[in-house]
Amino acid sequence: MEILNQFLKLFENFQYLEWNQVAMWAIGGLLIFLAIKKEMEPTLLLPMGLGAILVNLPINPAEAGEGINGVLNHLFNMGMTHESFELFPLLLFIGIGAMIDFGPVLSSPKLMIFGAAAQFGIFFTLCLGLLVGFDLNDAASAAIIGAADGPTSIVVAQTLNSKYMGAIMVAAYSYMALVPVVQPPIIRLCTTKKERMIRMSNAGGKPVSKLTKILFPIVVTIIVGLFAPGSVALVGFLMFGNLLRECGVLDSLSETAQKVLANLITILLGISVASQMTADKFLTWETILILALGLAAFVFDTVGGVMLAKFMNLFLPQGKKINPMIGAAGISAFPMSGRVVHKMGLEEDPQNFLLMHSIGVNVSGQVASVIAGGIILAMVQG
Amino acid sequence: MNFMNLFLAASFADNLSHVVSDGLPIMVAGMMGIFVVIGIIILVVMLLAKLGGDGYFAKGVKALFSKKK
Repeated sequence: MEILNQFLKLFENFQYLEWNQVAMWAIGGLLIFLAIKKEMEPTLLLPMGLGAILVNLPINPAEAGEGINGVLNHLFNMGMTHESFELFPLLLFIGIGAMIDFGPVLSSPKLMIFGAAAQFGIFFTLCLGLLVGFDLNDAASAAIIGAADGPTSIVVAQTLNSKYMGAIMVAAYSYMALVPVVQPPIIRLCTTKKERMIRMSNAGGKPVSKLTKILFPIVVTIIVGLFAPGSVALVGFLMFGNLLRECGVLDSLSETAQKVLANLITILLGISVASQMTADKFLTWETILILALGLAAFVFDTVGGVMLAKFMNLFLPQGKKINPMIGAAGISAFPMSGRVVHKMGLEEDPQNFLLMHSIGVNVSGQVASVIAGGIILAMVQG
Repeated sequence: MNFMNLFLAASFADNLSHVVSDGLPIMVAGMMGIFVVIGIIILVVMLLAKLGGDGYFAKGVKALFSKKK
């Protein structure tokens, strides 16, 4: 009898299993499938997928703060909360900054204007979020998915104390990976075939000196710090990473930032976000709305960039017109968005090479999205 | 937020008023803000490009040092 009692203790935990936890196992499995089979942002979706399974394993409510949930919550509190100054995304930005080459945008700086226009979706989606009933903080947190930038989304959502961190992260990283699926139909809807075939000069922008590349991160940090102080931490760390890259005397640090630091923080970030993917927090109607709003943000980002290019073409002479597709590359999903636009250009005209322009716009979108995050924080918190 | 309240006329009107009072001002001011900041960055970058490398600044410094010698 004693042996039987001891044996039955192995099945004690099953009494705490709920149907919505099983549903989260399926969602976690889906994220892992998308990461491995479809290679959609595997660096984040894989740890988030396994994490979603981990935090939804049944546990005695009396021990809820211990075990895997306790560990993941501790990681989350260490690096993702406002109290911990959103340390993980900020450190990740050092690595991202070290990976970015601002040369294409510095050789043709006017392209940066499309990076600004392609943040329209963020603000439009904020209005949509209010329309469907979210409060201002949650609407802004959902809207910042349109920044197409994981760290910016995390920092804004955490600073605004959003309740939907798990959904926002899943949406942000999933849609970034889905840019090749989401953007082309929107671009075709907003442009004519004739516009898509506009050729742009590939004479090459002006050569960029090393001094310019060194001064750029310093100057941008100062300018953004003056106008959007809420994004100083993000921009500062991004530009610090870029300065490590461009200074030319810290190659080992630059390489460490690009590889070791970025990979290490990505592992911690992905698994700790999963602590927010418990069934009670994730399986709600609001999650579906967040996913829909995130999609709307990406769509209207694309529309904003394309429409600005079309508007500018009204005033430009023949021969100097802009291919409006490059406006869509202003979304911060680098380098996918730039490559998507280049590929669409080649499909319309095999001799039309838009890569230099689209990558320049794409890079500028990285800076613009962080500025947008800072502006959102300044306006919503203020 | 109660999802079902989305479909109640009174709540929709309430949400719409929040869009008008909060959302639209943020949208307009936010987009203006981004364009202003990016515009300033563009101008500064163009100035840096003029001054850097073989631009005016480098030429000026070279001329100054050659005169001193």
